[in-house]
Amino acid sequence: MQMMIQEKDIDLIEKYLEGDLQGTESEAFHRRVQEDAEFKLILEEMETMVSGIRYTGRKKIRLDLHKLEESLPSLRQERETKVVAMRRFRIWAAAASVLLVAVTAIWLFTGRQLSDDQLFTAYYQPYQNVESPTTRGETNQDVRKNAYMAYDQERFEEAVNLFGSIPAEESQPVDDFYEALSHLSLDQGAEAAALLAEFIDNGGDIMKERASWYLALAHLNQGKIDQCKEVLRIIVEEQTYNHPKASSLLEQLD
Amino acid sequence: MSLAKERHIIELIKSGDTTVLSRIYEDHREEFFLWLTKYFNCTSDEAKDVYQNAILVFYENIISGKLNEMTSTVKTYLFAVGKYKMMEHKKQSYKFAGDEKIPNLTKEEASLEELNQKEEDLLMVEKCLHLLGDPCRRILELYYYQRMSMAEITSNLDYKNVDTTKNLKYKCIKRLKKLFEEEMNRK
Repeated sequence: MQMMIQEKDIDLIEKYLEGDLQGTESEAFHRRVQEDAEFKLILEEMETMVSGIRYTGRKKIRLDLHKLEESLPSLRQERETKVVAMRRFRIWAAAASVLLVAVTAIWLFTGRQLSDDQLFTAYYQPYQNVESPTTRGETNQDVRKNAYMAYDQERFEEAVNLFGSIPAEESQPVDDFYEALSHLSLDQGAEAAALLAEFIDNGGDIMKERASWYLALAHLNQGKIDQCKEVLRIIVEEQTYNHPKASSLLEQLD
Repeated sequence: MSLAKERHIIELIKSGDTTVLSRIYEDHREEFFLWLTKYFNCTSDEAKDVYQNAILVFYENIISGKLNEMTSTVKTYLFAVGKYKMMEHKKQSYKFAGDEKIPNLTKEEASLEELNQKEEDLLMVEKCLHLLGDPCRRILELYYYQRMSMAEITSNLDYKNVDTTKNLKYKCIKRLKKLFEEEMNRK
């Protein structure tokens, strides 16, 4: 048997299902359910329809998440990719450490004043990407992922372009930090300093301390020694990230 | 703590953008899996299920209006839901493993039958929605599942005015109901 349903009853049942019936309206509704067997059946059927629509919607989201999960590399693969990226950064870090020791030794034993460029090269190494999974995005739309991928693989020119093209709704403040470091790796101190200053003003987390160290190096890269020293003094005073290096660099600049 | 990003995410989800959900899924996936497998000693499949449930809860709480404003980051929210879901999951596993009592078969059977009937009904509605096709299926999903207002649906589907959408919605739910009754009678 097919039961006809009036539009006003659809509205009424929807109100009931949302818990929006109050006072006399609610009392009248419950009385009608008890007294009118056909209305009771209509209500039960509407409840089933609404539950079924929600069940279908939920199932679709679950299926989409499941498909997404299937399309992603397994976590083991992802960790392996990260390890490769980490190794690359360790090599850079090792090279920079050797240079730093050599530069410090020359400065200590010969008293020779080192150029800003030499100091920058000795002290600068890009920061390890701790922000984004380093797997390539599936499509060209995954700009953010690809930007971090390029950064990890030290393709800094490409990284600069990609970081600059991240759509506003996807971008995060920390992207400015890595975009700045990409510039700094390309000897573009001015661009790096502008982005780092912006990040320090708006970033608001532990990465801010890292950003201050790199801001000092961005000033050094541009030969702006007074500004560089000013930032280094704050790092030393507040004992924040890389303060021993900041102290040593400060001495070499004085 | 600035939660501008979280506010923007809520707006996007409410406007029907589900791609933002994929981005959130990918952004926190690795950290969530590592955390869950480390602290709850669960398998990666269990971690996947719990993570997907947490994402679904986050999504449904936004579309149902339960979550209108975030007081924490999305990550903190997902981890809190995940922790709760995992504890619930573990509790259920222990309960089943340790339940030595002989169940009341008559009561169990009755509720099982009821449950089966309910599930059958839901699957039937799903089938009828498929038969109904678009735009009806979409309108009903936007209205009843994503809880959009008539004005939002009108704009989302590029209709001319709210009255057109409202009339269509009435027709669609009536057609779905008719299809459901026909299919049930055919059984």
